[in-house]
Amino acid sequence: MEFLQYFSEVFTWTNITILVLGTIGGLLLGATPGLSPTMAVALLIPFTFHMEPASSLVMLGAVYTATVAGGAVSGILVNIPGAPANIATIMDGYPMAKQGRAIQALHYCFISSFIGGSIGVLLLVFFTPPLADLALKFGPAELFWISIFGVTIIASLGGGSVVKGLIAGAAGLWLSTIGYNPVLGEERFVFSEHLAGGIHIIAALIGLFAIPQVLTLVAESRLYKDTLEFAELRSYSVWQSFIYNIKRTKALVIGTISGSIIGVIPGAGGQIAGLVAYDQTLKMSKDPSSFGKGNPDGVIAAESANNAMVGPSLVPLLTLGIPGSPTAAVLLGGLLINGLFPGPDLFTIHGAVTWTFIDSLLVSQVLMLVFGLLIARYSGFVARIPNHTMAAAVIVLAIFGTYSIQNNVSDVWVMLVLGVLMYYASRIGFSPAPLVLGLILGQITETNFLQGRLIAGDEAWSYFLSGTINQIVIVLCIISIAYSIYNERKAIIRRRKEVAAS
Amino acid sequence: MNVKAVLTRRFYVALLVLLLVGYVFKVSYFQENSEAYLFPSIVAGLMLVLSVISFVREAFDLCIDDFKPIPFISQIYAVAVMILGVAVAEWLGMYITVFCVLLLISYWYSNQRIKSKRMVNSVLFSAGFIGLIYVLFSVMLNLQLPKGILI
Repeated sequence: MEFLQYFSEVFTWTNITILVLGTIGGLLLGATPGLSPTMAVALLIPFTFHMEPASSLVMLGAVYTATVAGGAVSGILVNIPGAPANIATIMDGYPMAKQGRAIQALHYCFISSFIGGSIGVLLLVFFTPPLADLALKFGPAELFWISIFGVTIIASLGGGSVVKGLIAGAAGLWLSTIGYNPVLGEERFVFSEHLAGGIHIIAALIGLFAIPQVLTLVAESRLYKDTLEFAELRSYSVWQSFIYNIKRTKALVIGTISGSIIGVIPGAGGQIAGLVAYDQTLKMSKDPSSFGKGNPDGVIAAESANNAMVGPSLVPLLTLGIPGSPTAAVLLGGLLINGLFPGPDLFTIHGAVTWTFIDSLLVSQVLMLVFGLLIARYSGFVARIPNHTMAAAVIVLAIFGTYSIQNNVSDVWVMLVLGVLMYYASRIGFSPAPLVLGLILGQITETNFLQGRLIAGDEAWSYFLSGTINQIVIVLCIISIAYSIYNERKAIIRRRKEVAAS
Repeated sequence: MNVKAVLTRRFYVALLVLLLVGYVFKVSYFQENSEAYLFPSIVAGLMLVLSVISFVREAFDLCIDDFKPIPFISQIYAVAVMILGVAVAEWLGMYITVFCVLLLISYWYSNQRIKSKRMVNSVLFSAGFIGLIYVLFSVMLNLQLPKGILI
C-alpha cells in the first residue's frame, strides 16, 4: 500500500492550492466549447516550468480530470459538448435539461464522473506497479518495439485512415530527429536557424493542439452564441440525486467497466469510452426507446465511462510510455520535461513524485465532485463566450506559453508553422494524435535503436527480432494494423452500399 | 462538388503528399554520414512506401473520402495576423504586439454590427486580457519578454 504513504504530500499548502485552482480552472475550461482537455493541458504545461515536478503533475492531473467532467456542463445546458468526450452525454443530458431537469442532469454527471473516475484511479494504483516491474525486463530492443507499438496503435486505432495515421506517426518520428543525433551528436535537418535546437516537444504540442482549434473557432465565428437557448435551472436536492445515482447500478457498472477497458487501449480516448458505454447501456436497457429522450441512465453511463477512462489511460503511459489517450500523450510531454521517464524508475527513484501525482488524482476526483456540484449551475456562462474572443485568447496564451519555454521566438515560429500545417493536414484526413506521439517517442525510439545496434554489433537483425517480448510486441503491432485495415474495409463496403442505395 | 472534381482534388492532394515525402526521403537518405542519418532514413523510407499506398488508394478511389472543406478565405486573416505578430514581436515588444493581435482578431471576427460598439468591446477585451496575461506571466512567472522599441 505504497500509495497511502504519499497522501500527506498531496495535502501540503502548495499542492492543495494547485489542486483546487486546477480543478476549478479545469471545470471552467472544460465547460467552454472549443477548449478540449488535450488543448487545455498543453496550454497549461508552460505554467508548470517553475514548479516542483510533483506539483506540476498534480496541476496537470487535476486539469485533465476536471476538464473531462466539466465538458458536460455546456453539453447539458446548451447542447454543445465542451469536449469530444462528452458527445454521448448530451444525447440524454440536453433532453433532460429541456424537460426542466438540467440540475438533476448536472448532478448525475458529476456524481457518476466521481464514481467512475475514482474506480479508474484505483485501477491505476493497483495495476501500474506490477506492469512497471515487468518493464524492468526490457532492454533497448524491447523499448524500441514498445515505442513503435505506441505509435502504431495510436495511428491505427485513432479512427480514420490507417495509412494516413501511420504516415502521421512516421512524420512525428522523423520530425523528432531534427536537431542533433542523440548518440553521435551530429546536426541534422537544420533547414532554418529556428530549428537549431530541434523541435521542442511543448512548442509542438501547443501548436498541434491549439492553433488548429483557433482556426476552427475563427471559421465558425459567425455562430452567434447570444441566440443560444439556455435550459431553465430548477433546484434539486443533491442528496436525492446521489441516492438515485447509486441505485442506477447497471448504468454505472457498464460505464465504469467500458471506460476502464477503453482507457487502457492506447489512443482510444474519452469520446469512444462515452459512446461505447452509452451504446451498451441502451442495448441492455429494458426500455431502449426512452434513450435520447432524457433517460438519466444515458448521462450516468457516458459520464462514468469518460472519467473512468482517465486513470487507466495512464497505466500504459507510466509503465511503458504509451499513452492511453491524446491528453495522456500531452501528459507524457509534461513528464519528460520534468526529467521523468516512464518505466520502473518512476516507482523507485521518483516514487515520491509519481505516487503524489496518483494520489492527487484521487483527491481531484473528490474536489471535482464538490466544485462541480457547487459551480455547475453558474459555469454555463462560459458557453456564451463568443468564438472570436476565445480564438484571440487562445492565440495569446499559445504565444506566451511557447515563448516562456526557452525565452525564444524560434519556438513560437515552430509552434505556429506546425499548428497551421496540422490544421490543413487534419482537413485532408491526417490526425494530430499519432504525429504528437511520434514526436514525443521519437528520441526514445532512436536512442534505443542505436543502443541496440551497438550492443548487437553484426547481429542486429536477430537482436531486434528475437526474444519473447519483442516477438509479442511485433505481433501486437501487426494485429492492430490488420484489425484497423479490416474495419476500414468494412466501412468502405458499407459506405459504397449506402451510396449505391441512394 | 461532383464525383470527378472530388477525385481530382484527392489525386492532387495525395500527389502533393507523395512529393513532400519524396523530398523528406531524399534529404534523409542521400547524406555523407549515413550512420547519423540511419534512423531518419528508415523512417523516411517507411513514409515513402505509405505515401505511395495512400496515393494509389486516393487515385483509384479505394478509400473513404475523408477530406473536409477548408474555409481558407475566412481564416487567412487570422493566419496573417498571427504570422505578422510573431515576426514583429521582438522588434515591437511582446505586450504591444499581442495587444494588436488581440484587437485585430477580436474586432475582425466579431458579430457586432455597430462598428463603434465593436471597437469599444475589442479594446476593452484586449486591454483586460493583456492585464491578466501580465499578471500571469510577468508578475507570477517572472518571464523576461522582448520590450521592443517603444519602451
